Amino acid sequence: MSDVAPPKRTKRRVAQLDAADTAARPETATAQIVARDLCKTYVMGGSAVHALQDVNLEIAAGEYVAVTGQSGSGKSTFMNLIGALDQPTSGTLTVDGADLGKLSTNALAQYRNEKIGFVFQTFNLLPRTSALDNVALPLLYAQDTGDAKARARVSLERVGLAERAAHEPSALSGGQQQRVAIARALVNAPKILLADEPTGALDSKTTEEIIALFEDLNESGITVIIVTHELDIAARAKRQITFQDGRVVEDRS
Amino acid sequence: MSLFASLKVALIALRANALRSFLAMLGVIIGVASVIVMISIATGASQAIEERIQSLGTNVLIVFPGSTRSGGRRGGAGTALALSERNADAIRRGVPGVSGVAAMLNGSASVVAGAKNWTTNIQGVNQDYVSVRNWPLLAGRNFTPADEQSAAKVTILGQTLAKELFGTTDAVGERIRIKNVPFTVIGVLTEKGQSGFGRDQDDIALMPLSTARRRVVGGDETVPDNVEMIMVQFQGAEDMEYGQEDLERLLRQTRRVQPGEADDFRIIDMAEFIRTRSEMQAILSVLLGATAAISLVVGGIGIMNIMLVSVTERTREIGLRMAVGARRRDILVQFLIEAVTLCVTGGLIGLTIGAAGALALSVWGQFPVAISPSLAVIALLSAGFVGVFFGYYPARNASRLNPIDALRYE
Repeated sequence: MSDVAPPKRTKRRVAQLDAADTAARPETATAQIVARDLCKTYVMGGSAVHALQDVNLEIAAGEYVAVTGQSGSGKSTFMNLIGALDQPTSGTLTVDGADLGKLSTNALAQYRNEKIGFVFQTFNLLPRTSALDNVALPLLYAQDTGDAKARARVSLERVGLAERAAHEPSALSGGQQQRVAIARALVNAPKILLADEPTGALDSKTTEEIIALFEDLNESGITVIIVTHELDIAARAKRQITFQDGRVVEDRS
Repeated sequence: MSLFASLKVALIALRANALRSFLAMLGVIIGVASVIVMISIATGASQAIEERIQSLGTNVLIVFPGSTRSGGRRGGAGTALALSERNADAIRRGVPGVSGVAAMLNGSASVVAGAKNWTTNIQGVNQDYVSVRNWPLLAGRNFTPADEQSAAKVTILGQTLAKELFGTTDAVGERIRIKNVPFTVIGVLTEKGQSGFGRDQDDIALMPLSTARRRVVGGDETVPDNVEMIMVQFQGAEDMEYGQEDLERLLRQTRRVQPGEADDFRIIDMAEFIRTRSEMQAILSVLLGATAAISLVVGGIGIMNIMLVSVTERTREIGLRMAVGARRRDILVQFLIEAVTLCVTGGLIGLTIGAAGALALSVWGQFPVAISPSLAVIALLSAGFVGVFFGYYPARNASRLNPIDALRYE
């Protein structure tokens, strides 16, 4: 899978149009994430796959958003672009005033480190590493770490796993592992929490615990964006954005 | 990310695959160990050669009488074949830059002290001998001109002989009999060790030339003050370079060799001779060193291989680290440090094994071995270099991964 280089001439024209468009449209002052004509195209097996096509969206700080859609609809791609794990093919994606398409790789790393907390379906914890060290991992790459262990401990307390700090992932249940992952996402005080199918590998009881935790975190002011295909989880969010074939087909608050 | 944190991460990763890490290190361990052993032996050998050259005396030319091939012409020319003390005196006076001239006669005789007897080498020498041979006295005094004049029955013993006859007690002042003639021991030499040809140089008794001629070796009818060889010591290496021609000219003159006739003596630069012998050894040690270097490279390839495997295996971990804020440089440094840690740890183990092996060789194999701290440092540095060199490519691959591709890697 590789990025398609944007065909430059046409895209520049699009960008100009876009600029005029943006100027015409009054932007909400609270918009934290702004997507303008956002496109992402992959090449798979020789043919181009349009994962995102001309997505225009705004998400305000402190929102609780569920991104839904069938697999291949582009919902995960959208989230990966917000998390700067991937780069847009064309269009702009601005988070807190920073155009992610224009940042250097180092600046993107710092952005992921300071602004974003990731929660994955498969937890992605480091094996043979204690819960505490797993949680402290982002601080390893932070500019100003302070007392990393103490901060990791606070973060673990926040997800209710302080007494499991010394355990390795293999000694924790799925729900506990996901909570460690959430603690890791929280450790560097992110503004946006991105969760990609966070309950996909969990049973219904732990799912409820995790979702309650997300709601709790949202209450404290963090923007929470959950990608999910489970409608009951999506229904819990304050806003539902539905993707289909790379386009936003529904945006409900 | 701090270097210390990187090191910690590397150690955890290496410990997680302890056996694999060890096997990957094995190449470096063997490489470094063989480098250490080879270089220790090579250095030891060249040091031994250097010592032998030193033990001959530095900047020394040796004059022997002409070879027997010229014997047929001897009577006709009316020239004595043997060298003489007069020749030695002429050299001392006539060759610039000479610091000492030792003249020698060799023989062997049975030596008796009390109930003990020992057959040893007898060497008639002049006063300069101990200084020219760089062979100081441990106790007692050197010969004097008076001893030479009066053919005094005095002797200086080598270490081996002194021990055979007197054990640990002081031999100076004791009386011994050489060929049944009573002698007084006036001195004992320091230990000299084996000669370049494996002869024990300490098994010797020295006496004045006149005494040796009269009591042990016997004289020469044509040359009453005959000596078997003359060692000429120069003040410096340069003096010797120029002095060799002067020496040759002077000897031809004093020994009345006609122009056009071949020399009736031979001048040998012993150090040169031994150096030539040592060239083979030098070539051998270069070959051994090259072999060791190759094994280090092979070890490095092993490290590279395991690092490539490690990077592939941990692609998701790399993706995760990037997702939580690791820069490319952080990933590069992490894997580079892993490779360097593998190599340097391997280097340390190899160093220990190599040093132990070299010691074992010197103890049981009677090899002259020299292990130097600088060699240890060089070995570790080269191991570290191997780590950086062969670890860079896998580490760079890791750092160039796209975060999302790495995270999704199955």
